[in-house]
Amino acid sequence: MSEATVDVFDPRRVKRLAGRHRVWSTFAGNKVALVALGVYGVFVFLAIFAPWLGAHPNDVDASAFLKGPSADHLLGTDQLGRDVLSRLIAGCRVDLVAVLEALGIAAGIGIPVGLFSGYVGGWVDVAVARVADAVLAFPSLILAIGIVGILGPGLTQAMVAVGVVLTPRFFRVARSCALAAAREGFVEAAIADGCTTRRILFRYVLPEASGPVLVQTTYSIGYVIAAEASLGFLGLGVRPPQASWGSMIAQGFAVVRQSSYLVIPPSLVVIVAVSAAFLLGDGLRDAIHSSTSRRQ
Amino acid sequence: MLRASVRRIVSIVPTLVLVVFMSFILQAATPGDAARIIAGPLGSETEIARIRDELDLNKPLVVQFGDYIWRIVHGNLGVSALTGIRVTKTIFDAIPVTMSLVLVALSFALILALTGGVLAALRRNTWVDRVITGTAAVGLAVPAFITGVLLVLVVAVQLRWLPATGYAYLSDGFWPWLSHLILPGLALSLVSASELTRFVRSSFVDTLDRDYIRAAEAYGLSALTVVGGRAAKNAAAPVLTVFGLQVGRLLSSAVVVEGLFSIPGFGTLAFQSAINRDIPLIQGVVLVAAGFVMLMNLLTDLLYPVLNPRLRD
Repeated sequence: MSEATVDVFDPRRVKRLAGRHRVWSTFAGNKVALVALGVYGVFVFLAIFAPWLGAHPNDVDASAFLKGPSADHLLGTDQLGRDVLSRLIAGCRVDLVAVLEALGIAAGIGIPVGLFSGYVGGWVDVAVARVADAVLAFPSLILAIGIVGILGPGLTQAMVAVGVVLTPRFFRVARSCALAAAREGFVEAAIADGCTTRRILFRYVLPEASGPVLVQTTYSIGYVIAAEASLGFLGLGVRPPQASWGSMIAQGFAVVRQSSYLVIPPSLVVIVAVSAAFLLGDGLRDAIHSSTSRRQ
Repeated sequence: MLRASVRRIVSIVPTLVLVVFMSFILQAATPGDAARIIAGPLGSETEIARIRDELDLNKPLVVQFGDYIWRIVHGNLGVSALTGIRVTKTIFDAIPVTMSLVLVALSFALILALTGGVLAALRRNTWVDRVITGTAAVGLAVPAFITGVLLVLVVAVQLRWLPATGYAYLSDGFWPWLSHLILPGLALSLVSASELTRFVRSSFVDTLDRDYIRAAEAYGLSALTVVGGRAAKNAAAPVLTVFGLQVGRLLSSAVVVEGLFSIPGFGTLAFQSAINRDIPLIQGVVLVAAGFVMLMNLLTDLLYPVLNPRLRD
């Protein structure tokens, strides 16, 4: 029997697809979560197509310093005469890169190690879980700033630091799913069938963890954006003149007495982005939770 | 209870060792020559050699780690590469400042959360409840420094009610001290207040549904006595747990809030040590922060059975 035919009639796969359908239909009934998803659609679109949308974040308009919204500059200009809207759109791109880098590290290390640790158990699991506990003992932003201090400032260095800080969260989620799955019949069947550990982990255990991992990923996007804004505000993120939402808030705050307007657009964008990620995470968690509890 | 407490205290030892190891790794992981970075761009070759010797950088990593632990056990975190002042002194000078800030923030968080949470629980499923839970949901997502920026904008720049930035020590008088802490304290408290509000609300909703509360109400005890006396006692233990977990988050947010308000505390130290790549100070800051969080978590765990008698053995 070839593998493909096994897949089509694999009852677990059918059940999982049906489960996914249920999750999606619950999720689609949640208006708040749908709006949050829409917000992220817009952010990703802006981030990808920023250069073609006429965003010139570093062009200086010498006739307009610290101006409010106008026809030429829809969201006004900063103290150097740069267009605020252009810089916000450029910031979308910076944040997309930031999220991909940080979550790439956190998920790329946390998930495989968590699956393995939970599945194998024993002293390996105890030891790895201790390391995760130790990382979690550090206040996250202080550890991240410490790592940036060691690596030197810059967006990639900052996101490596944030990725390290987030790794234990992915580790914990993957580990607890693997702990539960390791006792399931289908895993025992796969072992009896002579599957390699790697195949068992990624083909049988990982799908069981996909829901919780997705929820963790969504919340973490919010965390990364907040962390990027914080580090950017402190000058530990992107290097000037590159625009990021955090560095824009810092520049606006520097002239807060001359213009109370400049800090507002980037602040609002960060608030919208972070709360959309959290609301999306809540929506996904509720949808996954209600569909699994209905299944039982 | 005593045995459980001792076991809990002993259980942090392996984590503590790992935490020390991680702060040690920071120096070993420095790209390039740590001694050269510490000496700075103007450091001479003899200076670099002296630092390398002092930090045992010529010896194997295992020996370096052993020496590192030995120094820490003796309360020696080295000297700042920038100022030459002992790291322990630099940190302990900054801690009271951050303590004031965190205490003000925790007071705000507690006041806001108790009022909001209890009100929302008593007026469950009315517009009052929805406004409070809605505000808390948004409040969770606003990074503390952005709250701070907006507070400065409105309260300090537009209304001119309070100083925008800066810090005054308690020795300069009570009001100057407090007036410089109100805005940063509020900014720092909002996320914790939001989380605590949700928790206080659900904790009270749970408790208010219990039979003994209904019985107390049926006896004609006033709502205030029931909520203040009985419900509060039972809701206290879970709220304390969440409260204890706020310390780490507050320390993290304090870094940016202190930077924003130019407060010379632990957070500013953390941020400046990173900007200056002052490796011994970075290690000290990270280590002290983690140690403090572990201590607070330990105290929370030890206090939990005191507040919740059902957990005593």
